Amino acid sequence: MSLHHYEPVYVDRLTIQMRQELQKGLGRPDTPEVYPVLAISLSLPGQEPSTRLYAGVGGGSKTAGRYDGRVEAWGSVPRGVTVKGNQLQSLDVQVTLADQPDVVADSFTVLASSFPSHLRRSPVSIRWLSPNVRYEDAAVAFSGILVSASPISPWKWRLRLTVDDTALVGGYFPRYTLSAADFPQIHADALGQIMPVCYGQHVSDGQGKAGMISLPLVDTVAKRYLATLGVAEGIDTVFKNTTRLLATEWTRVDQVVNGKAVTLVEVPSATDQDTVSVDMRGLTDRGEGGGQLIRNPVRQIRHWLETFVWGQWSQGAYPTTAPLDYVLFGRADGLCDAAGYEGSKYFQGAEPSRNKDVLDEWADSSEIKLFWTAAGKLGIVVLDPGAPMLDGTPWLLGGEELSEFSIADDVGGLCSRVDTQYVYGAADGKFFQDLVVEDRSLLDDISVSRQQPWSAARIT
Amino acid sequence: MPLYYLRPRAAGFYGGGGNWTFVGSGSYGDYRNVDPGPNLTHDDAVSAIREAGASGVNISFLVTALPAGISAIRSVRAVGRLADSANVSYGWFARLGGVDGSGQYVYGDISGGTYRTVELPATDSIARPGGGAWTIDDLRSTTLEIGAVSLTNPGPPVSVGLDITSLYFVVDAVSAPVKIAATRDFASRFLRLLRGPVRLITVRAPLLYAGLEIGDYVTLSHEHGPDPSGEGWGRKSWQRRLLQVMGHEVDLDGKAVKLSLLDVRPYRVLLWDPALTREPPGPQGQGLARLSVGARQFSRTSKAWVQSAAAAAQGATQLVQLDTDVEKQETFFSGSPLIASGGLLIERAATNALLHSAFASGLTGWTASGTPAPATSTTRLLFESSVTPNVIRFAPTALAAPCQIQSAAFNPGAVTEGCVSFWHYDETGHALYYAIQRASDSKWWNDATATWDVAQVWNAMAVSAGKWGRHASKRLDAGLASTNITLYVGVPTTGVVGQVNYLAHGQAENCNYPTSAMVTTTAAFARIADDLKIENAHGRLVWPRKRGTLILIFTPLWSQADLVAGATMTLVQVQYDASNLDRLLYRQANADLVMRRRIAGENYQTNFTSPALTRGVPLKLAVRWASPEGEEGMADRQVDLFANGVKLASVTPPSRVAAFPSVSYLSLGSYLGTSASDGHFSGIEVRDYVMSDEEILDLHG
Repeated sequence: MSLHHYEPVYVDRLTIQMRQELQKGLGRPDTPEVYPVLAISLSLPGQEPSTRLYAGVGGGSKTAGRYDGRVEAWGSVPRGVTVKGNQLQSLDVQVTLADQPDVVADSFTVLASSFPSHLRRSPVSIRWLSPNVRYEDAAVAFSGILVSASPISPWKWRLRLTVDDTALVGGYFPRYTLSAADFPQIHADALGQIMPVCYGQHVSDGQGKAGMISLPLVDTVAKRYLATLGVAEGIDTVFKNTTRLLATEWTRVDQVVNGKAVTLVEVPSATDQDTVSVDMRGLTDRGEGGGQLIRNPVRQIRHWLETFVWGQWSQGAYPTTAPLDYVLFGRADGLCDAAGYEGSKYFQGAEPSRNKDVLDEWADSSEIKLFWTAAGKLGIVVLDPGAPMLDGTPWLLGGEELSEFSIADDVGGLCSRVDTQYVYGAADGKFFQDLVVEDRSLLDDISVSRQQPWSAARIT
Repeated sequence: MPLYYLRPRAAGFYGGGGNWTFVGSGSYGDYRNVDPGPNLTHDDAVSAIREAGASGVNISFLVTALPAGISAIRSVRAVGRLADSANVSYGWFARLGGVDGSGQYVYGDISGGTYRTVELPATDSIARPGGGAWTIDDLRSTTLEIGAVSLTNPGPPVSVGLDITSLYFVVDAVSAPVKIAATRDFASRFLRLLRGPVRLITVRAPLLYAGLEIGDYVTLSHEHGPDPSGEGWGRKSWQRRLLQVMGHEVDLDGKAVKLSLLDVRPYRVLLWDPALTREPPGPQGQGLARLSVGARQFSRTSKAWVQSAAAAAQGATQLVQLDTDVEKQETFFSGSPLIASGGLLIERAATNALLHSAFASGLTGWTASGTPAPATSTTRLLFESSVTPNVIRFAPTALAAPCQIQSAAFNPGAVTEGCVSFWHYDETGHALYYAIQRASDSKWWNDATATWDVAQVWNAMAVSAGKWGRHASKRLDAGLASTNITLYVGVPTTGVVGQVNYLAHGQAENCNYPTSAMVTTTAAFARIADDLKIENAHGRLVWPRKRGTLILIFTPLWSQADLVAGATMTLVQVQYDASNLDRLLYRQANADLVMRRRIAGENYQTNFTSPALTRGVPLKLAVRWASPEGEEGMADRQVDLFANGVKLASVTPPSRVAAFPSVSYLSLGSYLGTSASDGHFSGIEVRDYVMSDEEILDLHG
């Protein structure tokens, strides 16, 4: 039974040339000629930047250049998301290289032995090369960095590759703490606290009307309180000891302090013992000021990733690049717009958070999944039960086309009731609202608790 | 503890004059600007209101309205920033108008001549004038008055010098935050995914599929796919299984890709509303999981009273009041483990003509007699106490004469048909009775024979031993339109000395079967019809055009015999225009349930008469319609109708609706408030694919 008398499916992210090659044997004659090639980009002392290519067998191409047949085993590139969680999964690729002892000069052994520290963190990629496809059109199977090269026997090395997530797992947010260098008259209680950063709108009208956010006193002489790093869209209401102040009793001050743009609130009548809190609107889409408040949760996390994780912004225009799959982010962004989703977050406290923890918290709060793409970029997907089906959905055929097929039902972690805490009040350090949803048509009575620390913080 | 601040409406408070109203007679002193809102301490004698008036003068103004989404009022306090300029020992009062004539006075000693913030009362709440708990309505259209009063004479205002710079109510309310719908979406998506086993399919595919990305959809044909046909997941587009990529592992040595695929078929839905919860009903929709690609719009411009699911889950019965535009959600529980039933209640307009129906003012409007005469009781309440703090207790110690209460004669209005019903609790397991006399010929209703008799007839209510139950009369026949009637409830002389019964609510409505409670005081209460519609817009269709499946469970408040001649009860209607629509309805005339597809003015419909619809008995319904691809062996355009998992009828219109408006609506339970179904809905789903016979049977069998 032929399984391939159907029109070729459209599979995204492959160039036309690569797709035609891979369709050989699947609706096209012949068999595909493809093989993986590992590229390591090197920046070694005293040498021009260069790229070493390794494959299973040696050869060369006009555009890619020569590649050595050193790869003994490739392993696999596992990527994915978990259905029941929203934590970003890292990935681990292991490739075994075997040098040829009689070719010492170009051996990986010499390279790894000579420049172990320079080799580490070198950019790497694995592409599917084909004699029938230009190098630029080759499919990318993996893109990341070299974590380690370990000898496993004479002339044999195990290379561990992973995505370049250093900014996420090694970085902390916020980067700045409140210091006397920036604020010479800072109150002792504020000293050493992280520099606050505000996303979204925070309104306490229906929540005691005492201010959703309490501010650190950074100038005991001028009575100035720090609202956020960056230029906030607006300070709406100011409270002193939960008493609302007249508009004439406080002033917004925008300053650049040692290269850091900040939004301050000046309350002349306040004493050091007073608590000043605000309702406010946080960062906009323009670092220089102006612009529009970022409300969409996907745009918020995109801004945060570009500005504070992969960017080191402190003033001026925001950086707009990061290793994100902007097509996928655009799709998720549009879904949130259509659904009217909105996010809020106020970063403050004694300790900064690991960037990946912030990202995971956001993903869990928004019930959105993040992953690494083959191109080494951060992808995003929303499991949407009402997502429209597009024509041309790829069609997999069992039998000859699929060499393995298995089904597993996971019954762990099921629930009939979800109790969600949301509307986080930064000033009070707690969630103000609960929402329960359930399906009582199910006989099982299993409750699950969730939290949404990034939910809209508005009660009006 | 969300606090709301009801303050003078800005124009009046800032500018003076305008919105201020002076209550009483006499002169008033100097008043100008005052401070513009709550929590202000801007003491400024120049800008203060000076209440220097003569006796009987005070200042009154409207307060800002409570925002939407409030479900309950916990407490109300009055706060003022005041100074007694005369420096004498006087206080001030706040008075709420609109609740009753006397208002509520609260006092505080503000003597001393300096400004102070006074909160009254300092703790707890101002007692609600007229008793009971504060209601949302109390604060929606009330006036707040302020004036001076002698501490020793809590009467109307007396002459005093009083400067006021701030004045407002603080209302502790249960509120709804902005974007609650987003949180409901997130939680509902989570629940939808994890309410049943998560099925993952792992396949090893050619390298061509390495171009797939996480989150991409794929379809799969496989002979080993678990399909009820036993033939696997076939090749026709509707036979392929829809899956979503969760994991992607490229085997570099084997030149293949291993895909981990989530089976999204049971997850996918365009509209989902299980509508069964153990949470109490309210504006926040606690407990309600919902997903919809179209916006949900609900309206009912009157209050309503329904059973609390929270109480029901505890084996108790409580009726709670719902504000306008709050959906009537009722869940009932039975068995062990608890089986839930009921759901979203959609009803027509109706009127309860019986005054003082829930005894909120005790026996006002009723006449009690007997040994002893029935009396109000504050125990065994059926309603939440804010609706009424009373029930009537019948405990005869002698029955030489009936132990009864008698309503004032009332005109049921234009009612030609209707019913009466009573919420009662039979503590000792003995029946409570009712009698109805009409004025036109002084005859009495005999419920057993459904006739009007010359002699008085005491009709026994079905015993509800040790719990609240509702008893309804049979359909009252014609003859009520132009006559008054009088209701009697009690224990007749044939009753049992020592029996104890409670009555919480009576209803005389212009409907042949009992609908949800309508509470009256001094006037009849007219409930407005419920109107629930869900946007069905291009690009976000909640009602798919080519193919789809509707499933729901409908529990009517009625049986066929209850309906008036020619009645049509709309369960679902999607109307593109008057000539093009889809409608699921029940027809009294034919005693059948109909799925109708109207195309260019022609009706194509499938119907069935069995099983019949019976009051309180859930009917599980499914409708599916096929595309040219002939899903599940159906013909192009075929529409199938299922009941309780069994396919009953089909129809195949000759064409499809040709043109659609950019926005239409799926109406549930009525069509724009008309032809209401009068029943509960639960388990509502619209899917964008044709469910198989087996899937429907599994769900509804």
